[in-house]
Amino acid sequence: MIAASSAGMIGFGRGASTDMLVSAPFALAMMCWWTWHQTPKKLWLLLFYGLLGIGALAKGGGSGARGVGGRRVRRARRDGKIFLRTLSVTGFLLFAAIVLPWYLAVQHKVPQFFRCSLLSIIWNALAPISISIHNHSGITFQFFCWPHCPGRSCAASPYRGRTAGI
Amino acid sequence: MTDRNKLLAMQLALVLACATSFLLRIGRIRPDRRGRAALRADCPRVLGRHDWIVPTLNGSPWLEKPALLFWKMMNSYSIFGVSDWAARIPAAVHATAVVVGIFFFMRVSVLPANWTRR
Repeated sequence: MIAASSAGMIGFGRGASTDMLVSAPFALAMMCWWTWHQTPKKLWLLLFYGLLGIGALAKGGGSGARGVGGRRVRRARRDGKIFLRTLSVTGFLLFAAIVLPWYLAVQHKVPQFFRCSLLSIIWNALAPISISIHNHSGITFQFFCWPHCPGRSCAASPYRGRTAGI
Repeated sequence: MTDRNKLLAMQLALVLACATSFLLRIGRIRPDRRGRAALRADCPRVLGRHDWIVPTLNGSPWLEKPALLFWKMMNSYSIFGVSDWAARIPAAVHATAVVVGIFFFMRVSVLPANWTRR
């Protein structure tokens, strides 16, 4: 996992990738979350939300949803309340203070922005099931993406075993 | 070697590893699809007209992604000049930030908390 992550980071870091600008704050946000989980100082949780906001400003709102979800860690720790403890009104306000000004400013300048964004989200959600594989060359990529889901779960299992005391 | 010197040596090795991994011959790697679009974006023109809110591509708004990338690219252009190399600096700096951040957190927080309890 470390080798694969390092290779990915070098590739994304050198390739002018937009993904690096969300991966970096997201990774640091996860570290802040872990530090908050170990030493319950609210500052780390606020940093977590702030970094998620920076990630959302770099790549879109998905970064925030993924971070707050914390599904994998919750499952690994077998503690369903971690999600509820992670929710913080101050954190959400900080997240909104970082993210919203730009979105509102763009909406003010380009009035069709929200409508087009919504259509884009719906299009991206439906595209994998709505386009025929025979008529679209790019869609093959979507089918190759699916096998990585069980792979990710397997990758998390050693961590799950360790935290469960196995 | 004292602990302080060990730490300094580790930090130096980290800086060297980041410099060689992320910055050496950085302009020669082919960017990905969105990276190509970002490199083609009109950042130099935007720098001239001081409109930092709406990124544009070939003169029309390009809002596929939020503006942070463009702000960072424009800062990089204003510091290093307009070039392909300067446009790639933000991604490399972020990769370096992740490495340094992980080093910091592992040293300060995660490792002591995990390893001393076992």
